[in-house]
Amino acid sequence: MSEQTIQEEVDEYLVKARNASAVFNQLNQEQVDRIVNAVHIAGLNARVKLAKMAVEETGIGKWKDKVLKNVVATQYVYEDIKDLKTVGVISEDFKTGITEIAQPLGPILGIIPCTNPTSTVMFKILISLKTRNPIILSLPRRAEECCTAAAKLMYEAALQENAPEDCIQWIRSSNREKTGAIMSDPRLALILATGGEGLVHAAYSSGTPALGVGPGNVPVYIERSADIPFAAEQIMFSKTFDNGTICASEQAIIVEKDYADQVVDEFEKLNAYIVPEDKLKQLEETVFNQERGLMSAEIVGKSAKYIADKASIEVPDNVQLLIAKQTGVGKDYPLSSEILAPVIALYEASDFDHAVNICIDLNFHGGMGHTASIFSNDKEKTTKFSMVMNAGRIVVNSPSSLGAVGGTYNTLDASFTLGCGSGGRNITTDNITAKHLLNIQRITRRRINSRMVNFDNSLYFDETVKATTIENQFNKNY
Amino acid sequence: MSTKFIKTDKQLTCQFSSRMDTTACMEIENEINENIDNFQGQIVFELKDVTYIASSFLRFCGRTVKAVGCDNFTLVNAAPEIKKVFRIAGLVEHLNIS
Repeated sequence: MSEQTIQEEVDEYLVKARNASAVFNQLNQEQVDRIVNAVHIAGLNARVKLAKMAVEETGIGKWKDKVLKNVVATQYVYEDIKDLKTVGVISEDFKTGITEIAQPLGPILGIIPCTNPTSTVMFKILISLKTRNPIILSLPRRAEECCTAAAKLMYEAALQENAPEDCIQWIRSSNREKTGAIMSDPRLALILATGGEGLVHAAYSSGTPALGVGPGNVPVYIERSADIPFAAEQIMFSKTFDNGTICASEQAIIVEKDYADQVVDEFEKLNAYIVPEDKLKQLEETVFNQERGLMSAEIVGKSAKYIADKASIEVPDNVQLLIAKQTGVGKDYPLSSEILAPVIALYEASDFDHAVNICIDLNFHGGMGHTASIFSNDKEKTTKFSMVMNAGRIVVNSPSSLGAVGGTYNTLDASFTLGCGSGGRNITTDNITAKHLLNIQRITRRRINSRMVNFDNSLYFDETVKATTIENQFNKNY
Repeated sequence: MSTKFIKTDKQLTCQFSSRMDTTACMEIENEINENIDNFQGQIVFELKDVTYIASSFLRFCGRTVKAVGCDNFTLVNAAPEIKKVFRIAGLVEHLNIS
């Protein structure tokens, strides 16, 4: 396809999106809420069909877990945002004299990853429509069909409730060129970038404001006061959920030596397999692409059995998780990196400080700003652990994958775009949701600062007057 | 909802009222096109009573400006809320709106 044709196609999306944005601007809260309700119902009704389509098309994950992701992306997200005021005056405070007005941003580009395809499509559509922003979706080639189906059924439901035409669009045969051209177009208001590091970086470099994510490398520390069988069961559930495709899923278990055997026993009871030392190299070579310094794309979201077979490691048929004991962190230890599959590293520490230091190393090895996890019944240690992690979310006594996503194991906003703060080169550590897709205008009425009125301004212009004198005079309580 | 067409020798004024939503636009589409296609001169869209416009109405405007040219087409008396719609859609640069 020639460049001119790509530009024409990009123009078409953006002209339509801008028109939709203009029309959307006229809708009131009631009309918007009706649309969002109808759209979430349509998505929730299609949860199973879309989940099965996604697994069939991508070969990634498990359909039942994808159903649950679709439920979180529709029902839970809807519960979170349904009562949020997103149109017109949203707050008024006589005391401060400030009235807040919510305005939409304008056309949004939603980038969709192939690991959580239909759920991310539905999530991004819901939060965009709730805020009267049209959305253009850039779909992954591996999941184009299921994502298109999700977008289409939501668009039809939106139109039934008189949503603006073209309030939801999807790029036909998305590719880097088209997505790049849309990203850098000044008619676009925001990029919601969920995906790999390169893509998020491209979004940030485009000149258009972007809300992105960072990569994860989640340490989970089973501290000695934890209920160990419970911790093992929760981690097992979390790390094998959708075959480990959530970026907040645990990547390494850290325990102290004196109860390490008990932890291993608990995992073995749950059909985890401890990879023998002499097989670790085979596993590393299978799950990690040394050349790219990243997990190998072929094993993402695959089962433990599939990965073990690929690595020529003999395991029982019912194996759910591969545990690899590690002694170091960094590029010489590939299994200390993020692997979005049921493969997890295990570290034995001598004491609390040593354990936390390993967690810091893992956290800083490609997972800054994302998520850390701890199982503990010691409040002080939990706080100490949290204070030294560079993570937007520190998940306590819960599965970190669903815990970080929010809405199920805690009261975090349910989201499929997890901000990672400056550590992940993002602007926020929040779970991104509707409130991030608004321009808040503030009508600020005259409220005079009485200290300013009573202060002798001429003191500012006298070089001999010291700062302390100025501040004393300014704060004088007559 | 009613649309009035007022013709003089040199000017055709289309007076729209209240909500120009998708249904309303579909109902008057043929009539508008006919009137515009059979007229030589200035086309004026009177928007004084218009409270809402859908994408279809923006398309009418786009089609009209293409047919008669920017110099022969004006939109008048748009309320601020409606003027803002044209502004957000990026059509102000291509249309004469007052």
